[in-house]
Amino acid sequence: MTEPSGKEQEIKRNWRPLLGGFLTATMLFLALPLTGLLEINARPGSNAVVDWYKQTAARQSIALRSAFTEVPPLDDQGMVIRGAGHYELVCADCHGSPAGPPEQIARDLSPPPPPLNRWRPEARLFETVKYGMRHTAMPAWPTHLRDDEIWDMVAFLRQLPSMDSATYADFAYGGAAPGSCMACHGENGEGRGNAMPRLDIQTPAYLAHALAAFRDGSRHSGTMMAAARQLTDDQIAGLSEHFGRSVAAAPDDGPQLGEEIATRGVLERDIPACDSCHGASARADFPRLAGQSKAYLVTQLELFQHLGAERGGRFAHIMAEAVEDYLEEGPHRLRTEELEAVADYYGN
Amino acid sequence: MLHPAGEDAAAVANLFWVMAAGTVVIWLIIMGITVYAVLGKRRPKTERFADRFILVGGVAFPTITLAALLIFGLALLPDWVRAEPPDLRIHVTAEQYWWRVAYEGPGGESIQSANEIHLPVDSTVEFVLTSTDVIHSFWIPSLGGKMDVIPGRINLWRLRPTDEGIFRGVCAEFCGPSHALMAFPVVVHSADNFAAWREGEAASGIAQGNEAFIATGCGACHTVRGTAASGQVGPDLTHFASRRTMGAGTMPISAENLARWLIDPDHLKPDVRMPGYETLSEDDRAALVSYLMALK
Repeated sequence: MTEPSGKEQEIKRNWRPLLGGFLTATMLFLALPLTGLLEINARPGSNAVVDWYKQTAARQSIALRSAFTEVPPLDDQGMVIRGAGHYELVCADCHGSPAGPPEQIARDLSPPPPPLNRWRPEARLFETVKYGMRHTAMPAWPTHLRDDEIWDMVAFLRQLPSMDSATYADFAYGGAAPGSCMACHGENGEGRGNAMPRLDIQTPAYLAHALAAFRDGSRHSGTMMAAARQLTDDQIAGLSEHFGRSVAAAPDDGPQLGEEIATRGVLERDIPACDSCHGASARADFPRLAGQSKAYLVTQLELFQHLGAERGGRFAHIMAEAVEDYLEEGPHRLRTEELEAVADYYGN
Repeated sequence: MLHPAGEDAAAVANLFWVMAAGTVVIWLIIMGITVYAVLGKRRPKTERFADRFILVGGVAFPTITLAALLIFGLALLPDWVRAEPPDLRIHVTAEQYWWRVAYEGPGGESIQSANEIHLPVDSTVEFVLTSTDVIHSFWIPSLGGKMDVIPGRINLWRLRPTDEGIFRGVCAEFCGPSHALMAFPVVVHSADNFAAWREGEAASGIAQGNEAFIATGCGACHTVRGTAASGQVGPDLTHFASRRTMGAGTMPISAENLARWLIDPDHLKPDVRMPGYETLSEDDRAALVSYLMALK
């Protein structure tokens, strides 16, 4: 081992205070919360510097994380109606709506929930609705598996700034009581055009299972989890009886391919016939498909294909065996045109 | 394998015994020479003797022996030149992890069955083998050699059972987690009994008591001929209860095993495609079990 030269010793000496200073600064930074000097009170404007710091961080964070988000087509009116229903039930209390101002408690929040009355980039809205915002009252979407619902909400939010109160009321609750089940699903569960799933074709047994699955979070849907969360067993039974009317609807004249798959399946790819479990002779707790909203059927089939049993619900693992495939073009997966055809055959 | 019940298996067993005997003889000769070399008196050998010894013992003897074995072995290969039609043709499709079996009936019609093969004794049977997913291999050790079953190809394989009895067939090519649970009983009947069995197998299944079976959607994947259940995904169940095993040789058929199977088939046979029906009520499950057990 040789003695360090004069120059090397000099470099070593020059580094020492820098390193020491850095370590001290780090320890002070870590100890800062322990001192109690940081202010956390929620009086508006009490700490403009911290507010500016946090808000800038939030804005930039969302901008960065949404920079590469691909925005799907958002013009479908069904998306807007679905978004509006959930907005009225969950969001309007804090953000206000064309039908009324936010609740007083929301206006007292710090930072206050912003009114959504100006255009914002769709990708940033998606990011915020999906993940929520820390240190504010904005929660994340209840499930991370339903981006389709979040895009419904974005489709609504981009139209919200220019929406008058009459249009809003029509979208969000039709003629029914705001925030009620009927607001979205119709007086007797007949749905709202193609936008909402029909409940009246189902049996009470199926609806009760579905509501229970939404309530305990095993079936994923931000909107329905929010709606079912506070229901009691008795309420679930009552709602199921009210909406589950077992209305027999005939499949309408869909395309030949849809009827073929529904009644015979896709033999060469081991996809069984839908009617075996969803036809008129099926168990009471299996869902009925004839007359269902086409958009709903497409969404649910896509969920089963991508999520399999994770989509949730009492019999999801059975549907997973029928149509789930990890491969985009895998044998058990319905091709896009087949999926559309089946939904067309059953749906209205 | 050493209790052959078919012509091919007998030939293979014969080959085994000939080879085993030959091996013993050669082993004894070599050990004898070794012992002699170590313990024998040291007498100088002529160069001429040494050359001859190496030529005979190291070249001529192995060449002749191996050539004889090769001829003996090649003679066991199927006789592709002989093109007589078989007495019976059976289409076997291997899927993860079971066997779809279709018999050609007397009038050429196709009789669907699964996971059990019935054969008439002393008849040449041709198996038409294919697979829908991965490579499997079809082997009934007591009756004859094995044949790979390859997706997208049709392989033919002939066997001629000589003894009546029940034998075990297996998948002999690793095909996934439940490869070892992809077996099938093989029942060799007398010609008359086979004809009677095939007639019974061709008959429709019973529909009485199948309400739970239909309502639960079992017919999406399973067929019970003569009823609304006409699924083609899983094994045909028309005469399910007359088979010896369930789950393709996984376990014997009994009401108790069937109930366990319905609750969680994946537990009994990993990676099986059938979903579990643990959500069924006791009554529904009992109805399914009693219907299936009646499908003789």
